Amino acid sequence: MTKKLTLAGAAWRALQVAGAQSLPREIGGLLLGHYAEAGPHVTEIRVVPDPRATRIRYRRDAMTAERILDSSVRADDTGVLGYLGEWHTHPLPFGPSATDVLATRRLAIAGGHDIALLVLAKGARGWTGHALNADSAGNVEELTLTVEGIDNDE
Amino acid sequence: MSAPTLIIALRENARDFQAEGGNGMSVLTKQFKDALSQVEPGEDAAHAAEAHAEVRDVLHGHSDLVEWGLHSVLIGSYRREVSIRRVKDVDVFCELPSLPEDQDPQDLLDKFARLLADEYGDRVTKNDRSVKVDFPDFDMHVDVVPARAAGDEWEIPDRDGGWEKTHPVKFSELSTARNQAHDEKYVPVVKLLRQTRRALLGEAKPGGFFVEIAAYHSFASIPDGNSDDSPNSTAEYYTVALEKMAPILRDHADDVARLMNPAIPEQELHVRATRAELDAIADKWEQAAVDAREALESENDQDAARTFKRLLGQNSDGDDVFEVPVVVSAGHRSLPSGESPTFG
Repeated sequence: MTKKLTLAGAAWRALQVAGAQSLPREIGGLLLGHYAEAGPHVTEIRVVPDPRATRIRYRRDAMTAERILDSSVRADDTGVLGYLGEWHTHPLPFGPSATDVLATRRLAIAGGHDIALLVLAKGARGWTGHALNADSAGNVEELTLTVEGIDNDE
Repeated sequence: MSAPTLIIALRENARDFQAEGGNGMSVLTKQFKDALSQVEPGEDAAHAAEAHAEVRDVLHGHSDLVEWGLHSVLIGSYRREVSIRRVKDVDVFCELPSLPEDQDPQDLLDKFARLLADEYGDRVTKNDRSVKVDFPDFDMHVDVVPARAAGDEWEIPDRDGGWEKTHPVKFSELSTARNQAHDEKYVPVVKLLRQTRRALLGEAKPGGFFVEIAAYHSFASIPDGNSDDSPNSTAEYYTVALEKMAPILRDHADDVARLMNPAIPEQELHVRATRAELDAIADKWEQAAVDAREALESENDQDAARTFKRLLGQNSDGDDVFEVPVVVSAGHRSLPSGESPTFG
């Protein structure tokens, strides 16, 4: 069964706002939340700025990201908030690129655990999400994306 | 995944869960709290208040009853706040301290029926011991119970044409005292026990009042809030009450010791149930007590929750009363590497 990446409605809205504000350049950051039985469950997202991002390239800075993750975990009062993976936008209507897959696979192997990747692609009708998962052995599979509080079939 | 696995009810309650998780018991605080919400009467409470107030107003408009010193009070499970969804009836107890001694009880019921029929027409039905007024819009009825004074107690019409002692107001007071002694745990646990009866026995007799009386007696032997041995969670209270009730129900079924009316000394409780039905509830309760204890002491909260879910069944809306918590694992507390990945 295909695993599922679930996004809280507020997280999905935050992604779209961040993506729109950065156009025509890419923007990205961290997916935060916990793992449920069905797969990663993103409750919050964090933007990790990249002043040098272009419309085809985004680099997620490690030091800035580590600082953001630390402060998010410290502020969390649920006891389960943590890093699940990466997200970034594509100002054009294309899903994850070969570069994206490779970068995600390398993170999963280095970390020794699953890494989710969410790409928001801008199309004529708005943003579309594409999700995949890389495991510690380097295997990559697509994830079904579900946003809480909206009709995901639309 | 390398993240530690834990179970939470909902994200926002993870901290509560973790704080309680170390005592080796499945207390499932949030699930029990939600279960109580699931059996709450909801809009029935407002309907019950409206219906009983209306009937009382009608009765207090009749001079004969006023001359007999009519004092109407709300009684029953709704008054004692142990009713569970749905509330199908509300009881109005009509104290008549100046009723003539020679008043025939059935004539008295006829009089109440006539007075109420003037207002409610064919919605009124005279029963052996009370007069029923239907409120079809609420899918509910009000039972009006006339009573004459008998010393410190009261007497109501019985099924054989005579009078029978009762003191429902005193039972309400005893229930309130029991609840206070047990740090407000008695009332919610009685609701859960009534719901358990419904889950295990459905429409079969004996009903919820029988379970409530057995629960009342069982709480006498549960250490109260002043004791260090007092149960310290709803789950434990519920389990201990099931355990304490099981032998009471068995003794009643076996005629070893009958259930007594707490409000009237030496008066056995009237129970409309067959021998087979009394045996059935005793059997079910013994098993429920064993199952609940096993769940309470389980290290596996999901297994425990599944047992409590079965014991509490569904409410009248068909919704599960008890929810099995979701299993989740925490996200990672650090990044997978010190690298800055580039995406394209």
